[in-house]
Amino acid sequence: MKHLKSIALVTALCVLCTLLPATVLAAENVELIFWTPLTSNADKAVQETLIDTFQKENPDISITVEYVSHSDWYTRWMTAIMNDDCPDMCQLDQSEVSWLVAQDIIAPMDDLFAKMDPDGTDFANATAAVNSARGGDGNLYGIPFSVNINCLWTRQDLLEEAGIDPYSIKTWDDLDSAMAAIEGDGITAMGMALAREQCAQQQLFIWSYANGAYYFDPQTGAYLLNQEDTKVKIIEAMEYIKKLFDNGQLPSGVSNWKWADYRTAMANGELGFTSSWGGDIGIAAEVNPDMLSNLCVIAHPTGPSTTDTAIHDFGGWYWSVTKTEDAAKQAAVEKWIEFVYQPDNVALETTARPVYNIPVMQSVLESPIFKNDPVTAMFLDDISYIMENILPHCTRVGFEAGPSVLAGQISATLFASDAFQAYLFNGMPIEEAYNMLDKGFQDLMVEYSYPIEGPYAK
Amino acid sequence: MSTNAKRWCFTGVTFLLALVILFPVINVFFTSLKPATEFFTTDFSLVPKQLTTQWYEEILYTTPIVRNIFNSFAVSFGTMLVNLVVVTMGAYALSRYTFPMKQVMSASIIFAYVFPAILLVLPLYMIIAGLGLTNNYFGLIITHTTFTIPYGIFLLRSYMDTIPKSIDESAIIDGAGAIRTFLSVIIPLSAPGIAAILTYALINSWNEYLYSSVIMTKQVMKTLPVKISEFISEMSEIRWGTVMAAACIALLPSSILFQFLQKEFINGLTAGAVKG
Amino acid sequence: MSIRKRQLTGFLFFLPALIFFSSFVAYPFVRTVYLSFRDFNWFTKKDAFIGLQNYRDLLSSPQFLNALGNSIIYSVVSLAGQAVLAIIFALLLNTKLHGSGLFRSLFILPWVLPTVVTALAWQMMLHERWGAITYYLYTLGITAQRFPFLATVSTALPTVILVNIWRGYPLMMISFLSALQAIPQELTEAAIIDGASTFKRTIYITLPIIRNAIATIILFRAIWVFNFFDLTWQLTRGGPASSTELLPILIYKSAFGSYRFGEASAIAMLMFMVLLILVMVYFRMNRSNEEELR
Repeated sequence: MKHLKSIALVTALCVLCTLLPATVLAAENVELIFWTPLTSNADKAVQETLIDTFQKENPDISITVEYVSHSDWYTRWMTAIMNDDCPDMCQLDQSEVSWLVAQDIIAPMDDLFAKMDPDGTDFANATAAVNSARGGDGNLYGIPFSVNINCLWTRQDLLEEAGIDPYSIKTWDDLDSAMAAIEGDGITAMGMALAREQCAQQQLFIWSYANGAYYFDPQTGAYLLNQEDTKVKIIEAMEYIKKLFDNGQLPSGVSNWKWADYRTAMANGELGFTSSWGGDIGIAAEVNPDMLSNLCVIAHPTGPSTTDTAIHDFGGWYWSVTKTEDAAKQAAVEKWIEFVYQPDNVALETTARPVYNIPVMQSVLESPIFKNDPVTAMFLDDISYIMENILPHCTRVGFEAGPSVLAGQISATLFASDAFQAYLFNGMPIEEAYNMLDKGFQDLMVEYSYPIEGPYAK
Repeated sequence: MSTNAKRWCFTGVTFLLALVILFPVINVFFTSLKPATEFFTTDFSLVPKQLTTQWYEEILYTTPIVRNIFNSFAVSFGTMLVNLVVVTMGAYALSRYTFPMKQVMSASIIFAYVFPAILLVLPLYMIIAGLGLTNNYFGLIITHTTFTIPYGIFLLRSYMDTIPKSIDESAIIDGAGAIRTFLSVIIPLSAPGIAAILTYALINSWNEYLYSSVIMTKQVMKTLPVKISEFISEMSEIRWGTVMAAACIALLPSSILFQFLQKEFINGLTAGAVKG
Repeated sequence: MSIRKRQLTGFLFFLPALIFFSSFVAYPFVRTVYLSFRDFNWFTKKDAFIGLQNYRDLLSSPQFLNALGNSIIYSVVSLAGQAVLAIIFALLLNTKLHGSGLFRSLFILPWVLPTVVTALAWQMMLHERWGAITYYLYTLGITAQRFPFLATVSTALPTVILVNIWRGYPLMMISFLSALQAIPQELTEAAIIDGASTFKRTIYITLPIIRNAIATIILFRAIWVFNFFDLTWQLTRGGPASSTELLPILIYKSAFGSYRFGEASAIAMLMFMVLLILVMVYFRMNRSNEEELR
């Protein structure tokens, strides 16, 4: 009993200490906080370096970074908005930019952007990425520093052994022959992420795109799933993936596979192809560097309903800044943004995830830090290939005609993944699954007052 | 069979059962000692082919995990203390007294527990934030009481019910008031029950993720489960090594605390308690 | 002590608990009831009264009914599994063993692990490529290939239940153990003197005395398991194909994915009503026990 009393006393004292006010820092210091979901060890190392350098150059500004797990992202923002406790800036993708714009949290960055690239040459490759971050009012709410594009990564070595040139794979039929030629003997034909949260719907969109189907019209933003030709194309895409799964050409546990699963399996040499954002490279560099020389990228082959180059799904990484009345903070934030977009710093940031992060700035592509990064250097050809052949054909569901509030919600909700998974793994008939998909979109459009004929319709 | 042989028999059986049940934990431990190349291999082997302490080093030297463990400690301990006071008093009231609206009030306590935490988190967060208690041990402790106090009160109440009322009466005859009876008679006799509810409060608070992730957001205030989930960065590699090492580190203080609790309460306080 | 004074004393002892409830639970609860009758979307700022529409939509939605079914199966089977393991281990630990203190600490370990770690550890073991369990089952010839338990629609829910049983039994075990140890020594000794075997003693003396404690433990456990979000979410996110989607996961999707607080509140209220039945049964039992004890 007496032990208990002393323990209680000590604990009470400790807890009491938390109520004491923290010591106040020097009044001159501006404190900035930023959030980022890029939380790998390499990412963290880069952030620390950047913060260190910046703070040395700007001793009156102190920067704190908060690593927010991606699955907590929206919850954290929700509570921050409710509690008026938002970070000063953050790294995010374009769906999240549109989400924050709808919540009226982030500030336009047109001036900053103009300063960075007065004649528009540096960001010439990034038009799609830049436009995805524009609000309905035309202002720019996020500045991209890299894009990630979902392509088909392949085992060049296995294809060569089978006498197939990877770049000759242009259609799904070609893909079928190539898969048949290299699978077996420990190699599963294709790997992809089909887990429920975000992954399955990504693949649904990717393969629909490859078959020439748009979900929203690229000019007007009009909804297209109620059109017969779109329906045919999307169903073809869904049936193709189901065929792969039923034939055992996808891993047996693929319904739970997330991005890390296929990347690791590819790095281990267990897959022939991956429908991938390029993260396989980073993992291979870490766990199986010998595999690196075997990997190469090709554009997604097209399905039977189209002959144009396939549209590819892309995501971008941006910096955004929160609205604030505090002039001192505003000035400090601007300094940070200018600092962080210096080509060398962007190069550091993007090479933390080599090849997955494709820089959008010309100056970064030419910077020695980028070109000499050991892993990136091995893939400069592939990166050029992507930028020439694939980047001009990229979009994202919900962003086809311009930014929309729907885009954030499409990735935040699960209805598209559910429809796809129900069809692939739970025996739901294709008509029913398609209707489930259609209904999910229609409900979303009603809820967010999205006009079915498109917000950009004349 | 002699009683001693019987004892060893039981011990043997229990030991085997422990091995089976604890296989996942054993696996966690060995995984924390494997190098990265041994995680993702189809040729599974429980014992590492190569031993490495790199994950432990990474955690202990590059992350503030000791601070996170301390935070979890502080919150769990605080929850335990709050429970000790509120639950023992509340259970005593329900077990020994009647007062108007007793049934209604005790039912309302259960409400807190019946309410799914996943929905309670937002309004509760608003209250805590409104009180300015985010990133503060008290704030998190309060949220943890929502699922520890109801259970504690009802469980302890049913233990107290098994203590014969005659003991109360003899204490009263000896001149003890309500408070004295409570402190010197009822509490020692309910020691195993109290140990149970305190363990419950301690461990559930220790493990809790949802409230911790929204209330403790500053790096320096994060609790252990939240910190561990940070290591699982889903967008890139699966950091099994780091997570498993962190888990093993985390197991130590909680197990020690639990041991201490069990000994202190069950052994120390039941001695001489159950007599006539 | 006069009756009035007794009542006051009792109330005062209960006061801290009451304060806790009215401060932190009453408001959220009332707000949830209120929201359940509204079409409330936090993102679009829509807020309109729609009466019972949320309830009607839910009760006719296949998604909700699927989650309800899953939740019930999940809760009942988890509970039963946890109770069985808990009773066995509690009885075992209550006998004279060598090192029972150590065993107690060991058997409690599944509960001490943070859910996040448990989920990852089991995902790891059940992975069809890298997992320990799939490896052993395959090499021992029990399965034809390395089977993806968590990724297959027919086995996902049973697997999640199994992990929950593994994770949750220690709590019940501790509670049972404490109840067993609170049994007055004389009763047990008297029974031994009377020549009752260990088994008979257990059934006729031990269990009836801790019956109340058991009922409380099971009730609260049932409520907890029914409401439990973390583990299943981290194991499978409710997939594949909604086969492990439970009601708390539905609430999460609704509140944090779609921002439909009204709908989420209605789901919570429906869950509450299910559990209320259980609670009422418990109180009915308790009242009759109180009368017994008097």
